[in-house]
Amino acid sequence: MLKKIELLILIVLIVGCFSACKLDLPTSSDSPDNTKRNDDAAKAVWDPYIGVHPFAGDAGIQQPHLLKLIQAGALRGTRLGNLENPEIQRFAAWFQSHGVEVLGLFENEHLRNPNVCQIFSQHVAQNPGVFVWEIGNEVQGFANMSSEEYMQIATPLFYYAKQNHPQIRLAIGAVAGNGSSADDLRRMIDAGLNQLCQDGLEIVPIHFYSWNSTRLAEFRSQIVRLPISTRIWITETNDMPPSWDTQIGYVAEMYPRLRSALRAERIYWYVFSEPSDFALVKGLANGTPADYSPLMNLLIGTVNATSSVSVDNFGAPPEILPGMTPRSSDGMNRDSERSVKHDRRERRSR
Amino acid sequence: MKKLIIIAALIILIPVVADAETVIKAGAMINYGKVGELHFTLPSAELKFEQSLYKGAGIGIGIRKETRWAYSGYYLSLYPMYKMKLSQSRFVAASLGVEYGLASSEYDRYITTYESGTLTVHKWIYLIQNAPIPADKLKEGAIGVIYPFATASYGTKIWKGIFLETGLKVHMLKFGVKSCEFDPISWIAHDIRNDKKLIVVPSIFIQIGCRLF
Repeated sequence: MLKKIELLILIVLIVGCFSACKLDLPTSSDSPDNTKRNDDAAKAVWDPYIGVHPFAGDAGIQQPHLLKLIQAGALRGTRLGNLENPEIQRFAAWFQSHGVEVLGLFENEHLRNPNVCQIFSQHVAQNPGVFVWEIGNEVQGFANMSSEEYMQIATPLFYYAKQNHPQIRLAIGAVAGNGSSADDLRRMIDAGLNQLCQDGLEIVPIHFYSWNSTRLAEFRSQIVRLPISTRIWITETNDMPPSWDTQIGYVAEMYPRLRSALRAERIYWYVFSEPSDFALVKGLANGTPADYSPLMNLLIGTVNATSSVSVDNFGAPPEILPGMTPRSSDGMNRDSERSVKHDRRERRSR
Repeated sequence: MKKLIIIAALIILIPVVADAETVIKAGAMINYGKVGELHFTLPSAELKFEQSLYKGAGIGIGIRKETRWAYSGYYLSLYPMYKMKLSQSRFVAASLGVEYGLASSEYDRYITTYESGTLTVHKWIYLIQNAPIPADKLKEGAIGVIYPFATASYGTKIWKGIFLETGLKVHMLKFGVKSCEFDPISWIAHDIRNDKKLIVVPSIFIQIGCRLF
């Protein structure tokens, strides 16, 4: 039945298809794990930005552990809230003295205040080293505020800040990274976000949790609507439900996809420390010994769950903001709390 | 979608005329494409039902899974086709149709250029979404894709009603290419570009088929 030439063509095609299938395949399916292969991939794609929750009364507990990340070149920017608190202001200054940029979070509780613009100015004055401010955080969930109401507050605040604080960069408040949160972004765009971007709003942050859904495509469809001149920062991301067993796999698998599908210039890991599996480090808040996740170990290049690695040449190059001095080769800058506000259990239940 | 499935099932289950045949095929496919800095080579697996209706002309439906990622890379296809017998055991076939689904994220790429640690240029290449998807949580949105394709293939009988088929498939995909440059000090954007490109993406496929009726 089959002629020799047909057999030959079929064999070539079968071999070609199977060898091509081995190329360019995603490194795993939807069950990431902390394998050696993922270790290397995670290290290559890691973005050196991490959200930090200052603990009540003693932000200093975290500093020795943060310093390990800074020295390893795995932390060049952080996201901090509660910056009206003098202790958190000192914490921010400590970051800046180590060459770590601080993205300041202007808390939701101020947004409905009639004097919101003056309060914002106070925050800026109290934190002269903070050059990027995010106006609110997941307001649809945490502040029970519609996207339309939020835009009515954020729009005049944006124009006020541009006029009175031209040295700072502004980011709109990030929408949550689960449920129908891409629809919140759609409603913000419909309520005038595009106009703000065209008028100079530099950054649109989003949060992204989990991957087994249509959420990536949903966010992507809205990010396409934003001007290309707007930078997309993912200011929180992690696996959902969180697990130390999947942290490295999540970074290895999702960071490249978040970058390409959402054109994310920066990706901030949620979170450095809190008593949950979202954290890189547990055990600090209640005074017990620090417990490092496999991802934390990978990033600082110490004891690793699956392999030993070097700690140079992490992912994307850092952004140098006005007022910052590029770090020297050892990762240091020579020039130079409140309780955890967001209950992550609430996030998980949503 | 339900209507589409019912129509397809009716076509398959009720041979309309003599000379009709119903065929099931399963196979693998690999494509290759290049849009600027974006290169992709994506494998996929496909399952098809084809019903010839009159003198080799017929209709087919298929489902294709691209890459092993669970959350994307699903396509349904619908296509009219024509099959011409060269001999008792050999045939050539052609089809023209549309594919609809949730595209893989491998069709996107974001490229950044930094100077002295500051972002100076960025460029985003992405497959344009142009169709709604039932699972979409957006109230208004188009997170899916629908694009045309054409195939040409050659098949040969290997045993009774079982045959092997191989061929070429081309998709017409539309990509968006957006880029801009930034002033490193002020972050002010300039040289903003928004382009769209229609790209022919070739694929080769091989499949094994079986005549059911």
